[in-house]
Amino acid sequence: MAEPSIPIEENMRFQRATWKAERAGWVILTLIVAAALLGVFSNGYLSFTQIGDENGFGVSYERFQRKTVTTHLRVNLPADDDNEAHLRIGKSALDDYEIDSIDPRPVRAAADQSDLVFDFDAGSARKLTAFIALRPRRATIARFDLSTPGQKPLTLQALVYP
Amino acid sequence: MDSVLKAFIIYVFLWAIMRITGRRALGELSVFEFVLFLIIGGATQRALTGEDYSLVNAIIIVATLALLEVITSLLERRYRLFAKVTRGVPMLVMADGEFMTSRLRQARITEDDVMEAARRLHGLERPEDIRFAVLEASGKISIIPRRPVQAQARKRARASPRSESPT
Repeated sequence: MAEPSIPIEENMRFQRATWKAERAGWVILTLIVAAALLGVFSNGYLSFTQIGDENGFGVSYERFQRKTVTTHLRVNLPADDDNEAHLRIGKSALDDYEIDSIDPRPVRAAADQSDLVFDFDAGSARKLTAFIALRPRRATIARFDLSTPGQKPLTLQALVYP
Repeated sequence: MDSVLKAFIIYVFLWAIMRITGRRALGELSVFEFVLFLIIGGATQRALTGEDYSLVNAIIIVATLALLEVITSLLERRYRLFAKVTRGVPMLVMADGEFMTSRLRQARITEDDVMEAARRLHGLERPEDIRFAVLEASGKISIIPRRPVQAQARKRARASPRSESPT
C-alpha cells in the first residue's frame, strides 16, 4: 500500500473490526434460528411442557408464549360421581390473558373469589379433556393456578415475549 | 408510547441486520435479494402495526422512523466515528490492475463483481485497465481506470498483431 495517490481514506483497522463484528453477528443469527427451531420462542420441543398427571389432573401447555398470539392449554380433568368435571382458574390468569375459547363448552361458568370456576359435563367417561385457548395480553412472566376438587393445584408458569 | 418503542427497536434491529449481512447485499441487489428485502419489510411491518391498524398508529410509526433517520444523519455529520459505525468505510479491493484477494474474500465479493463494475461503468475489459477499484461504504464498487485508457488500448491493439505473428 505504498501507492502515493490512493483515492480514498482507508481505515483497515476499523474494517477488520467491522468484519469481526459481522462474523459475531452471523453467530448470533445462527443462535436465534437454532433457538427458534428448538422452540425457545414458543412452538417447539423446549416450549412444550406438561405438569400433573396424564391420566388424572394434568395440563400441557407452552412455557414460551408471545404477546397477542393464542396459546392452547390441554387440561385433563377427573370427573366426580355426578359425571361432572370441575376446573378453577386462578384470578391472576385474567390479568395476563384473555380467554378466547373453551372446548368442550362448560355447562356452568362462575366467578368465585375472583377465580373462574367452570363445570363440564363429562358424560359417561370418568375423565375429560378440555382445551382452553388463551391470548396473552402483555409481555410478562405469567403465573397462575389451575385446580380441581380433591387434587393438588397446578401452577403454570410461562414467559410471554413481546 | 408502545409504537414509538417498537419503531425504535425495529429501526435498530434492521440496521444491525443490514450491517451483519454486509455490503454485498446492500450494494448490488439481485432480483432475488430485492424480493427478500420486500419479505423482510412485510414481516417487520406486521410486528410494528400489531393489531392496531389505526391512522394515528401509522402516523406515529412513520414519524418515529423518519425522525430516527434525520437524527442518524445529523449524528453522522457531527461524529465521524458514528458515521463509520453506521455506514462503514470505503476500501480498496484492487490497485494497479492487481486484485486484493484476501480483502475481496473477506468482503464476500468476487473478482467477477469488480470486472462487472468495470465493464458497466467504464467499458473496461481487462484488470490491467483498472488503476483502483474501491468497495464503497454504500456497497457499490467504484472503478478508477488507468489514464489514458484509450491510448493504452490503442497501444495494445497495435502491439497485439505483432505478438501474434509467427517469429
